[in-house]
Order: sequence, then C-alpha cells, then structure tokens
Amino acid sequence: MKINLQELVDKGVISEATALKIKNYYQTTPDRDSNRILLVFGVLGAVLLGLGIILILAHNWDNFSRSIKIFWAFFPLLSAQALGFYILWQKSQSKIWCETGAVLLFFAIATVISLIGQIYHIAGDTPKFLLTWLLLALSLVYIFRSYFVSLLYLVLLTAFVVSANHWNYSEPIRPWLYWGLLVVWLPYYVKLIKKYAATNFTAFHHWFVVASLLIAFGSYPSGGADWHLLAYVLLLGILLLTGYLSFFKQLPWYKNAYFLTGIIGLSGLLLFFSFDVFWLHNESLIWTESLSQIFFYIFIVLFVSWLALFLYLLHQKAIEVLDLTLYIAPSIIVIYFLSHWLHEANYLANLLILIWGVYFIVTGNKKNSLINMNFGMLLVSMLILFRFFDTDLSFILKGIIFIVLGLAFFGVNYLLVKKRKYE
Amino acid sequence: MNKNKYLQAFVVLVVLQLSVPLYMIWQRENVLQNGILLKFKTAPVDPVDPFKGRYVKLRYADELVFYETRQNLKPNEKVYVYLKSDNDGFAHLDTVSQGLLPDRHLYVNAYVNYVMKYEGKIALYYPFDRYYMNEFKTRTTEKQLTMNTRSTYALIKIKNGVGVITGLISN
Repeated sequence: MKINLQELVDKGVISEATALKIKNYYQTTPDRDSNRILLVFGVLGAVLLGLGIILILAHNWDNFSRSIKIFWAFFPLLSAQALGFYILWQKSQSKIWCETGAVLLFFAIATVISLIGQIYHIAGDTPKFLLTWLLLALSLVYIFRSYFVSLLYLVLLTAFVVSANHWNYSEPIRPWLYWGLLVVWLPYYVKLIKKYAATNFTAFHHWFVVASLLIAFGSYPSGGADWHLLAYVLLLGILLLTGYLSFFKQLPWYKNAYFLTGIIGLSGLLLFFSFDVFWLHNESLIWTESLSQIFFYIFIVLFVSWLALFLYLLHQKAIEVLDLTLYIAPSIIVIYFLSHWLHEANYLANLLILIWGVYFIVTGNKKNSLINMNFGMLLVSMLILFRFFDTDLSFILKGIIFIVLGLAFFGVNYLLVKKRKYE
Repeated sequence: MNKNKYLQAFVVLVVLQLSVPLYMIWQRENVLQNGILLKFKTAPVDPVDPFKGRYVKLRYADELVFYETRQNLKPNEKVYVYLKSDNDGFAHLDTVSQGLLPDRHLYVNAYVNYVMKYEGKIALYYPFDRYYMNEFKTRTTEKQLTMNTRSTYALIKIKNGVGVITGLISN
C-alpha cells in the first residue's frame, strides 16, 4: 500500500506534524538502510586507504626521476576519478558506492597537490593549500550526494579559517572567504534537513555546523576584544533561537545542537562573567574607537539578525514571551554596557545566574522535565561553588555547603521521579 | 537525463582537479627549463609536513636575509628581491623593491618576514625554503649541515621571480 502523505494532510486526515513524524519514522527504521554498517566500513576503508597512500608517498622517493614521480602523484587522483565515472555511470543509486568513491576522491585531491609540491620543493602555504582543496572538493558533495564528504568539507573549512586567521597578515581578506564557502555548501544542508530530517547523519551535520561556527568565529583576531566578545554572545543567542525553529524543536534533545550549544555556551559565559576578576581587567568600551572595529559592525548585523529571528519565532508562535531562556544573550549584553557606569557588574551576572537557575528548576518541575530541573540545579550549584572559591570561608562551612548541595540534588530528583510515578 | 547532468558536472570537476596540479607543474618546469641557476648560501634544519613528508628547512645566509631600509614595509608584504651573482655563481642581495624594476630580470619574489624598527632593517622570507628528502636521509644530512665546518648552498633556478630548488650542495 502506497500512501501519499501530502494528500492526507491536505484532506485533513492527519496533521502536518503527524505527517512529519511518519516520514521521519520511515527514514530511520533499520530496514530502510539495512546496509548502514557496510556503508560506514566502506567509507572508513576509503579514508584509511587515502591516508595510507598519502603517508607512503610522503616518504619521498629520491630514487625516481621527476617524470616517474609525477606519474605516481597523479595515480591516486586518476584512479579515483575513473572510479567516480564508473560509479556515476553504473552505481549512482548505491549509497555505499557513492560515499566511498567521493571520500577517495576527496583525499586524492590533497594527495596530488601535496606531491607536486613535494616534487618541486614548493614552500607550504597551508591556508592556500586548504583553500584549493576545499574548492576542488565542494562539488563532490553535490555530485555524489555524499554525507561524509560534506562532513569532511566542514572540518576542512574550519581548519582553513583557523589557519587563514593565523597567517592573516599578508592576506587579510582570506579568512572571510569562510562565510562564502559555507554559503555555497548550505543548499546541501538545507536539502538534508528537508529530506532526511531525523537521520543521524543530519544530526551530525547540526553538531558539525555549530562547532565550525563557534571555532571560526573565535579564530578571528580581536581588534577590539569587547565587540568580538559581545558578537560572540549574540552568535550563541542566535544559535539558541535557531534551536526553537519548529524543525529543530521536534528533534530529540541531543540532536538539537543549536539549542544545546546556545544554552550551555551562554550559561558558561555568564558564569565566567560572575567573577570580579573578569571585570577588573575589562576596560570599558570606548565608543569613538568602535567605529573602526570590524566586530562593531558584525555586532550590529548579528543584533539585527537576532531581533529578526526573535520576531519571526514570536510570529510563528514558536516561543513564548515569558520564556526567560530567550533573554540570556541580550541581558549579558545589557550588563556589559552597564559595566561602563557600574563597577559591580559581576553582581548583576550573579543575580542573573540565580534567576535562571531558579527559573529552570521551576519550569522543569512544571513540565516534569528532569533535564531542565537538573540544569537549573547545576547553574545554582556552580554559582555557589564559584563564589565559594572567591571568598575566605572556613572548611567546615564549605563542607556543609557541599553536603547541602548534594542532598538538594538527591531530594529534587527523588521528588520528581516520585511525582512522575503518581501521574 | 538526471544521470547525464551529474556526469557532465563531474567531467568539469575532473578537468578542474587535474588543471591545478598541471598548472603547478607547468609553472615550475618553465623555471627549470629556462631559468637562471644561482647558488644560495644556507643554514638548514629539518621539520616534517604531515602531507608532504620530511624536508630540510633552508635558512638563507645573512646577506640574503637582512636588508637595510627606511621604507615603510610591513610584515608579510610582498617584495621583489633583486640579486647579483658573483664569479662563483653565488647570489648576493642587490636591492629590495616594492614594485618591479624595468630591464632587470635577476629577481625573486619574497616576503617581509619581520621588521626591526630600531635598526631600520627588515628580514626577508623566500618562498623556496623547503627541500624535500627521503626521511632516512634528512637526519644524516641535517647532522652534516649543522657541523658548521662545511659551506652549504642550494642550487636554485630563477625565472619571472619564481625560484625552484634543484639541489642542495655541501662541501
């Protein structure tokens, strides 16, 4: 029996959400990709083969003439390309063939460039090498529709932006190519999200994207550290809001990389700000200098994006105005600005952590969610523990506080589990 | 139809993938066939490149590296290093310029490595500072080269500012 889900939705037989759930179910059931293990081993084999070839050739073959060396340098690429043609011609429907072939080609590109560089003693310009590799590998993602190459591309892209920022004196524009190279990869990601929403591969992509964004954003040199930091806060805030989009919200919590990274990152930053040491060394913002700093403008762009996303989610009824979680990022920014006039900004950070800790505990209790509640408890405990090392309390008092915290964790979890049993 | 589209895209990709290494070869072969051979005095050490294997890192002797200047040069800025050759074929630094000089062919592209403000000097970095060798040979080569009693130099072919190392001599 073949069912047209769209038809059922249109006729009002099932809701849009149910249709999505049915679709996801069929995409993740084992018989759909019963050869997933074979796929993983095929790709692992290809990766090992690729790396092995690079290592053996990196040994340097002094004894061969230049032309023989060049022939061998091209051998991995030419054979991978030949295999690529065969796959597209005969096996284009087989996931295993496509993935394996694409991964082999991915490594073959690097092999030939490296070996030609070695044969002619060309000095290494790592970012340029990675950039060439990225440009030649990108279309593999589309032509072979390869998950693995897509993930490898993200890893390579992140390595590129880090190294380009490290060597950025001669080519100050180069690190910004990261965003362009990310944008041209996006259509594949969007397709994955639309077509294979619930698969693990798509979840891996979420995590890789988030990790790449955070690493890339942090790798830029901070002309003015303040605006860089504030822009980082907003980036985390945007990630958090992205996690509220209906698509991500219906995922199991460990697959919602955006929400988790946003909430953990922001809580971490807030805890960091709760130390007075941070504010002592922090020079207040000098507005006149801000205009010459690129991160000032990035901050503004991110702020507008944050606001737009917020309003969009509100319009879609995906968020509730009273959900305090949404306001962590903006309030960090507000206390940062306030620190300009107020010397005790760390008190405000402490207060905010306390508010959110309690908020998570209360809502966790209401929603019957152990994760929410324990996260709130964790925040409050961290706050207490940190303040503890700031101050000179006696060991007995410290000991008692530890015991009380431990008991609180036990007690609250016990009560909630008990409450669940009754319901 | 769809299959053909993918195949066509792949053909374009294959051509691109091949053209990058082929261009690298063509550029260097052109220098090797038609370039001028010079000797560069060196002081090498040997690190490893994860992709390309072990190599001897060449540091060029002082007269090729430091340059007296009052110009406003910044680190990593590209410069043209004009050379002159002595009777034994050793290269010596003649002048450093931010632009190409007319009617002079004996030059290499180089970069400002760092600037010593108070001395008004710059240190140069030459983009041909790696000599790849078999991993077993580099260690003995390095030992020989650091014994200091020998004079070592690299043989480098030069054309259009590109230098390609053809050999490393120690005697």
